[in-house]
Order: sequence, then C-alpha cells, then structure tokens
Amino acid sequence: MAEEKADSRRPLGQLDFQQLVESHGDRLIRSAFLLCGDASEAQDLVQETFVQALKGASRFRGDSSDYTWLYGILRNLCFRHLRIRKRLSIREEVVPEPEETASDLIQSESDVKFCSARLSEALQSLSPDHREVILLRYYENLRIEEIALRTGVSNGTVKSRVHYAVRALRQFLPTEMNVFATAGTNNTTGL
Amino acid sequence: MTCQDFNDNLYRYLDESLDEQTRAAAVEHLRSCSDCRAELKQEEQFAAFLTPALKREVAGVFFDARPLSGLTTAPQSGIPSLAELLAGWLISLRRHAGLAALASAAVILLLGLTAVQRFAPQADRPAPEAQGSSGQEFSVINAPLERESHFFERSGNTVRDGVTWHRAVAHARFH
Repeated sequence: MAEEKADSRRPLGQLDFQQLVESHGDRLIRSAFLLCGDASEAQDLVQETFVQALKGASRFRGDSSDYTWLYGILRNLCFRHLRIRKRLSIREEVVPEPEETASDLIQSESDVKFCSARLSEALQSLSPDHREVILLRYYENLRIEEIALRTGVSNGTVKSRVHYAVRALRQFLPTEMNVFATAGTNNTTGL
Repeated sequence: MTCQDFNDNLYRYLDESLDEQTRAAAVEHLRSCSDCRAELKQEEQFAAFLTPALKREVAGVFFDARPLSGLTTAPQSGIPSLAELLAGWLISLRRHAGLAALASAAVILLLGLTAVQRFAPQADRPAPEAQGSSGQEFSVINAPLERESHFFERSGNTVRDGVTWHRAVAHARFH
C-alpha cells in the first residue's frame, strides 16, 4: 500500500470532513484493530481520532498525506490506550483456559478460523512497538524508511524491531501454520 | 559482503532500496551463500503468508461513521463547536464508562445521605411541642441542653434542699 500523496500540501480546513471519514475510516479501523486486537475498542479509537483531527485541523500544515496525519493521531491514542489496558489487566485474575493443542483445533474447526485465532493470539503476544512494525511492514507494505518516518524512530531501530517481531511470530505460530519454517535453500530470487 | 552485512541489508534488499553497488554485492553474496539464500526465502515466504493472513483478519472490520454524522464540517477557528465538545464528551464517557458509573454512584450516595439526614427523625432530640405551658405557640429551633437547678421546699419548720436535672431547649422562638 503505497503512501498517498494526492492530498499533501492541502490544509484540512478546506476538506470535507465527511469525505475524510469515508476515505480513511475503514483503513484506520483495520490498523487500530490489528494494534489493539478488539473491534469495539478500535471503533472508539478511530472515532476519537477523527474528533481530535477536527479539533486540530487548523494546525495541520499538509506536510504529510491526510492518512499519515490521521494515523499519527490514531497511533498515539492506541499506544496510550494499550498502556492503560496493560495497567488494568495486571489487576485482573487470569483464568487459565483448558489446553487445546493445534491438532485438536484443526480437527474441530476450519483451518481459516484456526489460523485467525492463532494469528491474533500471536500478534497480541508482541509488544505494541513490535506489533506496529508488523502492521506497517506486512499489512501496509511499507518500506523500512517509510516505517521509520511513520513511527519516528531510526531505520536501524525499525530493522531491529521487524527482525525481532518476525522471529517472535515464527516461534509463536504452530508448525501447521509455520510453512515458512520449512523453507529449503532453493534459490527463489532469480539468482 | 559478509553474512552479517547481508542480514543488515535484508529488508532493504527486499524493498529494492539498496544502492547499485550494495545490491550487486548482495546478489554476489547470495550466489555463494546457501544460508543467506535460505534466510531470504524464509522472509519471502513469511511475507507471502502473513500479508494475506492479516488482510483476512481485518476483512470484516468496518468503521461505523454514524456517531460522527454531526461532525461534517471542519472548524475554521481553533475554538471547538458545541457539537464537537459533545461528541468528544460522549466518546470519552463511553471509553471511561467505569469511571462515569463510579462518579454517578458517588453522587447518588451523597444525595441519599443528605436526604436521610434532612428527613430522618433524630432520637436524641425532643419532639417539638406545638403548645407551651403558657399557652403560647413556639417551635424548637435548637438542640436540647441539660441544666441543673436547685430548689428549696418548705414544709412546716423543715426546709428540703434538692437538685433537679432538666433537659431543656436551649433556644426557642415564641410567636
């Protein structure tokens, strides 16, 4: 998903707010969902993103695309929300769920549901910083430099985070899904 | 190029954002290093697996824009409109529902206690009398007060000295 530059250099005050919501609402909520793992929380976060965008519209200089600007607001809200949620969850009693092996799940549910549950669990096991680079790299298909700009850290930090997050995901996902773990040494790059 | 160098440049190699010279060195290294070829293939396969999986994960997630339907115009000044404030307040309220419920409970409790204090009969206060001994109407306007008084009672050649304790009204307003 390449960065959209169409709306760059245009102050938000001239934008139709409804158009902004329609253009970016779904994309923002999907990012929020991947970051926080809950559709209802994602809806609230995106709503608040638009409200804050409206309040700060006069300060938007149009240096970045509308989506990048909105994503910046959303990311701050998400990270703050996740910090609060983490503090609250420490006080909750953890109720252990019955052990269910990967093979049991595959037999009882469809593979798609199984993959979704496992992937969601794997994503939520990552820290918010690592989850965000996975979202930006593999969902938004951004380059390292673009992720660095979006997150405000150096290229080296982004590479390190992607490297760590990918290793963590590979370990967390069960072997049945981990098709890439069995990769051979064949040349697939046309070399 | 060493394996460490290739690993450092792996993502930029996939992004095709390496300069010509570094890219040529990476390609040369891949020809001779099976470990780095395997690493590259793993990364490509991981991306091929993860990108569609993430898209499937969010495929059913859509933003409900209805709560924002009142906010259709960007403000021309920095002063938020009433609708914005209301929308922001409603969203905050929804997000902090627990806190709002707690505050409401505290207010209700406070009002309840005030009502009980105002209307409940107080045991240690004597019931106000509508009619005094002198026939004048009066109303009690203050708490009771205990008072000690001496009395002398003469009976023939004997005088009896006594003390009585009174529970008296400290202040009364006569009409």
